[in-house]
Amino acid sequence: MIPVTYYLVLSAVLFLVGATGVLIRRNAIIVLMGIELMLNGANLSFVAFARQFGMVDGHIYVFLVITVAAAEVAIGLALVILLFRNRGTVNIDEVRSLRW
Amino acid sequence: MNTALPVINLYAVMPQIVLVSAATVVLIVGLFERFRKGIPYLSLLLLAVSGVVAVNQLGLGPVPFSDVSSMMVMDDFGLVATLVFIAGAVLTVLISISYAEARSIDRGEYYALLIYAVSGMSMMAASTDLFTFFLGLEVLSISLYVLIGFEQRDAGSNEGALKYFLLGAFASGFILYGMALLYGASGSTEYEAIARTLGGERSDAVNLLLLGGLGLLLVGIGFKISMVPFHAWTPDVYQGAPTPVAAFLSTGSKAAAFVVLIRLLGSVFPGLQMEWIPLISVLAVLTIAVGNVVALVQTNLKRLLAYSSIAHAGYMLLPLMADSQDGSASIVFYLIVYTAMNLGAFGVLAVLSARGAPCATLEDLAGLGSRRPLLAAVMAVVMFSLAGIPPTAGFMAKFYLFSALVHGGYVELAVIGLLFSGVSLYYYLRVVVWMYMRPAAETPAEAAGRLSYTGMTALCLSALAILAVGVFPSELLQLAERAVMTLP
Amino acid sequence: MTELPFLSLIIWLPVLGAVLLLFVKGDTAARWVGFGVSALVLVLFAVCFGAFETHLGDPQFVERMPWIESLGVSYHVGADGISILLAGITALMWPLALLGTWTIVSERVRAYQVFMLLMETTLMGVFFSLDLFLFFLFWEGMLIPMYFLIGIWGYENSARAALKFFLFAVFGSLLMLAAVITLAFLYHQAHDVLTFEMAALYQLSIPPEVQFWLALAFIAAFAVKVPMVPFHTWLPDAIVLAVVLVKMAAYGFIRLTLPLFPDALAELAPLMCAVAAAGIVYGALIALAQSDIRRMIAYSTISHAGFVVLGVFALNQHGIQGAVVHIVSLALSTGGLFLAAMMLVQRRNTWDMEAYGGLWHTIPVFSAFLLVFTLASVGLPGLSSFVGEFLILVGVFQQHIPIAAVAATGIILAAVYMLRMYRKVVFGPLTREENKGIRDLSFRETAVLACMTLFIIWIGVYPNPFLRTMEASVQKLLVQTHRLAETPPAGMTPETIQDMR
Repeated sequence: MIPVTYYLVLSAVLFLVGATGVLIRRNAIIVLMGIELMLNGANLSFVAFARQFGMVDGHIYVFLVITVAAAEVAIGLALVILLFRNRGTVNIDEVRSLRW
Repeated sequence: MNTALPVINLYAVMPQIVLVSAATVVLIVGLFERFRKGIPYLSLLLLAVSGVVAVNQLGLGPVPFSDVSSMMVMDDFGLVATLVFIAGAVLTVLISISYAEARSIDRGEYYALLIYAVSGMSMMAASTDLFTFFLGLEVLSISLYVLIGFEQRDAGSNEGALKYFLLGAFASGFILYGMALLYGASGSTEYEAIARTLGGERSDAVNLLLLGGLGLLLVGIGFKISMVPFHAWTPDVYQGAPTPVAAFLSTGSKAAAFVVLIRLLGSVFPGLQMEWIPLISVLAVLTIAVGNVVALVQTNLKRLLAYSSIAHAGYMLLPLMADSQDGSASIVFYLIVYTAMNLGAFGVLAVLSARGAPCATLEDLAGLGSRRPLLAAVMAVVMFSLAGIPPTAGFMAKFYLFSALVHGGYVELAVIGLLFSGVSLYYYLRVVVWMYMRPAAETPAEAAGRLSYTGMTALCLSALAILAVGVFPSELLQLAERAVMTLP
Repeated sequence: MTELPFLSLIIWLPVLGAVLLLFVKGDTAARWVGFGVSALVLVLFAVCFGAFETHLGDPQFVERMPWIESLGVSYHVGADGISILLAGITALMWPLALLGTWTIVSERVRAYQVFMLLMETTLMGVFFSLDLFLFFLFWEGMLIPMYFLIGIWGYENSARAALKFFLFAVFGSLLMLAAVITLAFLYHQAHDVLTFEMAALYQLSIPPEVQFWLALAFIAAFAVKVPMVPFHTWLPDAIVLAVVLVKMAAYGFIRLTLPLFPDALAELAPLMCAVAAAGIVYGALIALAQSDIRRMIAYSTISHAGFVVLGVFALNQHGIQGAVVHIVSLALSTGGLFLAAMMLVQRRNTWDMEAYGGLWHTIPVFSAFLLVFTLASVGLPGLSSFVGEFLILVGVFQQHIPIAAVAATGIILAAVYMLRMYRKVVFGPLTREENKGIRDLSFRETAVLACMTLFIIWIGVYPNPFLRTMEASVQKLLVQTHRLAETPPAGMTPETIQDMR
């Protein structure tokens, strides 16, 4: 049997890859994908822990998170489309009319 | 099979139920074009109803939501916080009316989302489980993403929304991963269970998970309260968002995050004090310093208020260290006062921007003292209060906060905080100088026409409240103290 | 008769007047309301002063009620011999100042009256507070009306001056706030009661090194406002309020710094005396170099403020009594000088001494009054300042002879710059065309200046009533400051505070 630590390491890697993506990529869509990766990394941890404890609540949380993530993506994509309409770009570096 | 269904106590979550239903009603009524003018007033009514429900429950708690798993609780702390959020929302609606009409964003969704956001905040305040906290946070955040971007044709609004969305979702990722680690450490996401794990024997691995979990949660919440170094989004988003939304964002959503922070650090993580106290104290001082110093050079009013709100978040972080009832009560009191002050400040801008060109920079305020005496007086009261000069509520709040800090034994931190609040005077007074001591170069567009009655009502109310609390703070202090009494 | 809450009436009546002003239309009506209310305060005060019993050292007309219970703050006011004199000069000066600036302030008259009345409230509050928190509240609250008064009705660069003043003042006050909180905390640690009662905090024994820092924090707050060198740079731009501030800050020294930190004073008092003496000479020298009347008066105020501080930190009966008398006389002489100068400038629109000359022939009444105020500032025997300066020097001679010698040179310098100013403005040939058609004082202006002159001469000739009024209070203060008695005078104990709740 594969020990739970493996899953945890994988989830940490997923989370870090996602976070790195958010920080270094400038395309809004790819940044969104990075955020999804982060959430799924967390989901994987939840499932792994729930499995280890033999409890179901971890699984339930994951379903909740997936729902929330779907809502977030819906809003996020809508905002990106709006931005594309107004500006003709999805690159967040070009969107600097507001000073950092 | 013999499964006992958990006993669920709906009464315990009544304020949240009423708020969500209110938002849904507003959303549905908003579909009918002919009710368009009435929507804000309907929202006010429904907010008032939920306020009454919450007031009626004061002093009855704590009542848990269900007998198996706590999830949420009805206690004075959550109820007082909910009342603050509702009051903030009422003021926001009042200052929104003319602003939204002038920009034709006065649709039902606008007000519905506002109330959904309040329900999310209320959920956060009442939660005793990381998951209900997370759900509340998402309800709040998703509503805010849309509200910030509500001016679809305005590029600034768009960009502000996208920026807040990306960073907000990023922060949610941190919070969620932190929750996963805490779940792994204690086998549950309930606050009580986590506190129990902390109190008992813990192995190295569990310790690591707990520390990592707490750290990630702090990063996530740090984003929400714009703690340095996670503050960079604040000025951009406040500048881009519709002004009433910025007002709501700077008060309500920040207050909700602080309420959660009080619950978490005060009753869940005292066991890790050795670790988080030095960290938070350094970050709090940095937050105060960065907010106050950068605000000195701002000429855009919304950015100035954004940096000022960063600084105020820093002050409110300080008493967490004192780890006493006084400390928590002083944060609650500060939050209440801060809500009135910041809504007042943004409200003045919103009312001024409702007609014609937006009131954006210090120059736009020139001569306001003679052009709009009442509005200028409100702004002056708010500025003096933000600066913490008596006889305003801002002074009382600062006094209470710093004395809690001194009583906790952190005299140096109190002195640093007080000195920086002296620095802050410079930029608050600059606003007053522009209003009263510089004549306007040319008559600005807003000079013609009346200002909105509802907006002025809201502003006068908050200015009067600021003065009244500044002179007679006893009642409100007692409320704040009663609120934290129910915390474990 | 004494059942009326006199002090509260005196404190809050101006606020009522300010609220009333919001509903008044027209400049003249606003002026009358402002003057009427401040005159009413003066009448109330006169009644109060009549009932004051001079042989008692304890606060009289005491009013006390709980206010913010969870912080241990109460609304506690009372007047002792020192505060009643300072409040008295405030009550007297306010109607006179409003009357004197009747036509000088011609813009935003209503707002001017409002802020003046609010300032009177905060001043009275500072003098009568017996609760440290209440004291601080009035102390800080005063900044708001003062800020607007300097910023809107000040002279060139006034917005800048107001900001500068405000920042200076607030940095001092914030340090004091930290010290106030710490004091309450120390008391709480020692007696397990949270209170800001001054009488209770006086009894607190604080470790000397802690005392030192707390005393420094308080001194910083007061020194900015006195204004003591080197915290004086805001003053020349904001002279309007200088006289008021000297009064406040010196009162702060007397009421708080002395009795709260007796041990720290052993180290700090000589230092403060030296700095004050340096300030006297410095202010006088700079005043000597001014050709602008306003700036000259400002620097002379810095010099005179040095005398006041010197008297306070002589830490003996003569010094403190002298300081209080000097504050009162400063309000009359420097206040009168400035008011007279403003009246002159209203007619000719320049502060430059060189622009005048030969006024004795054109406006004799004005010149006569200016002479009285000038001589009073110089310290001529028979006029008010002489009494104060003399007592202060006597007090200081008992402690530090070299410092007293340095301070005495300040009097000589004052004679030089004051008389030089007077000679340039009033004597000499009437060379300028503009000065010929100048109007002499109106009846209103004459009445204001005459009233001040009357008091200047009274104090100068017969100061006894004033000295007697504060004698008992000063003695009590000194007992407290030097911890003379084995058992401290009946003050407040934690038990009495509990009882009062």
